[in-house]
Amino acid sequence: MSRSRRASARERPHAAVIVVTFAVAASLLTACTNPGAEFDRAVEQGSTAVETARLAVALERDGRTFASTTTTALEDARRELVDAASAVAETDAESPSDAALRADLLDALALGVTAVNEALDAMAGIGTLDAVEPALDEAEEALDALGAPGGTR
Amino acid sequence: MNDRRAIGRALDAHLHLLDRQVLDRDDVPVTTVDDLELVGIELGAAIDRDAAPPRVTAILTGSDLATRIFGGRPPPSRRVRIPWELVAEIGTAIRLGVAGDTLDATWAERWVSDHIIGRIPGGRHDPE
Amino acid sequence: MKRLFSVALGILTAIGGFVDIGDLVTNAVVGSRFGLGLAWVVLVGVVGICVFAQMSGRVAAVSGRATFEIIRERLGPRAGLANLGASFLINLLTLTAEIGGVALALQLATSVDPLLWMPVAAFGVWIAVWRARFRLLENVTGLLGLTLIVFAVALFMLAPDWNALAGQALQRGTPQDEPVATYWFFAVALFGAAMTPYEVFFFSSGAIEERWTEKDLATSRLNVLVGFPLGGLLSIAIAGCAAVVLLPASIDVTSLSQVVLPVADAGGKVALAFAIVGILAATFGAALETTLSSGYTLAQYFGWSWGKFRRPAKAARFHLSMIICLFVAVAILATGVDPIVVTEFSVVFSAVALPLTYLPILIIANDREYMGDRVNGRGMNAIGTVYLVIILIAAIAAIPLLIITGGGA
Repeated sequence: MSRSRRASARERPHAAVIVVTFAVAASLLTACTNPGAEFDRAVEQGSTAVETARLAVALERDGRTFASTTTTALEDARRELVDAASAVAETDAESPSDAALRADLLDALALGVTAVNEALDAMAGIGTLDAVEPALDEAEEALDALGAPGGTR
Repeated sequence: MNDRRAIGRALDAHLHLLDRQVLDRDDVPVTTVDDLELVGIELGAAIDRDAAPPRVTAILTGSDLATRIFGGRPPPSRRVRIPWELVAEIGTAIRLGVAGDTLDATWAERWVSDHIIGRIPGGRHDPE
Repeated sequence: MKRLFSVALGILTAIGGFVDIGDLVTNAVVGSRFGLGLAWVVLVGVVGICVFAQMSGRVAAVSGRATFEIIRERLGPRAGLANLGASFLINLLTLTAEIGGVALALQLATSVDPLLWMPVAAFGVWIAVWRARFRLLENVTGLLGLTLIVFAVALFMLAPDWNALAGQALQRGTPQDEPVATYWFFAVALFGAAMTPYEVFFFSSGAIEERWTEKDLATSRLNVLVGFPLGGLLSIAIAGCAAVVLLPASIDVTSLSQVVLPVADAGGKVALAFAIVGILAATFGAALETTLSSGYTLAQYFGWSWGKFRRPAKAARFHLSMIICLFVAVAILATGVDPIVVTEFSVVFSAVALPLTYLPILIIANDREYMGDRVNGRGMNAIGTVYLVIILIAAIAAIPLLIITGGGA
């Protein structure tokens, strides 16, 4: 019994090594996708970030949250928007409509970043939170238009 | 629990000795049994029918673990031995009759204890 | 009276100690994308961890040996080394995630950059492991972690449509907008988050630390059977809060700040304070447990002296390895990687590592040489085997699902 245990034990380390290297390599490769999927993901990421910012600002104005938490939430939202914009900016277009969509998407995401920055500035004492909601609305509308079924391919 | 102090109990060296925890007189872990040193047997040589059976003379540890897993043998001069005479009891763990500090096999533990852990404030105190 | 107190303490500690950063993040992500549609996974996971925590505790109490000592003895050094390697690395990944979680929670409270908090968190973990008594660590972090109950309170305060929530929980199949593969990926992740391997190493080594005898087993059984399910309900509450506030707003959780916003929405600053304290305690406690687990696994495999009940100078390599692990965790985080991403990887890889931990326990719990006549009964073996099958399926499916869904994106 100990001999067969040893035999199968010998195979296990090798199999594990193979599986893990394959897994790591493959999860890196999944980053390569077509522009349509990339844009869809960016729209979702941007929307989520803008909605998070909206929720955080609303809670802040209601006095239901701490300034530190709101600031953290806004910074996280900004980082998501910037990441989405980077991903879109580095996507190669496969057609003229792709190129146009990419430009529009970058504009929409930029609106989001501006709005979130206004909110962060207000939290830091520069300006107020009043103007932030309309700015977030504008960004959200722009993203929605691009995310609608007619927007991406 | 299995606390039999039988004299003349039959054990399977592979099942009951190898990879077992070695504890010292005060139940402080010393090492695991990485390998066993046998005398009275030569590798590759035929065994004479009337020859005396090989005897276990020591528990080996240290680099013997690596060689047992990956192959090869460390030279006899580099072996870290716990002489078999020191073994007091064999149960689910192997207990020695001496304190661990006196053994060659605990040199790594003592080195780390003296040079690293002992130097950090609070290292020598019991947890509060 | 004193007995009642200690029983209550044990249960409360188990509840508070059940949730860690993996549970927090995964449940919140799942809640924000699937509502309560994956709540069943938490229930399955809770039963599983109750079964195996009990088994590993019994093995430790009856045989006086901890899990990894027995793994090497039973499986041999080669298989034991493979097991150690995988378990140790995944443990290290989980430790990194927990330290990151502590830093993120501190950021929520102070808005100081988490990168600055990470060394502080690691140092705090080290000091606690270095000096504090085992029991004290468990009790303080467990009780403070109880403040996470605020998530359950918040869920009630949000006055959700309970019928809709129940509908989500009971629905068969996946919601329209998420692919099937993603649904099952998160099921595996949630399973890995609920049945974290380090819990078992910690539980069995803790049984030895506290010198459990068979009498203590009954108490531990009570703690586990009451505490862990309540902890599971807490996890579902976290998902529920996300489902009620974040899902309708199409907010997918990607950061810790989003996890607490529903609580602030429900109960304002007071509730938020409780939530932050709770997250801090839960992640700090989990960081302690994973640090100790990394020490336990190494020391038990190589036969080193170990244990918090010994002074550090008497368990030198044990403590040195934990210090090195903490350094490595901070180093990984210092690269700027998102702790949430580390968390998500850690729960998926935990699911992969589950068979390595649970199969040996099931085998040893049936071994008469170690257990005498306290071996598993038929019922326990039946459940254990069923779960082993579930665990194997999850472990095999985890990596392919990770690849197919691109990490659940």
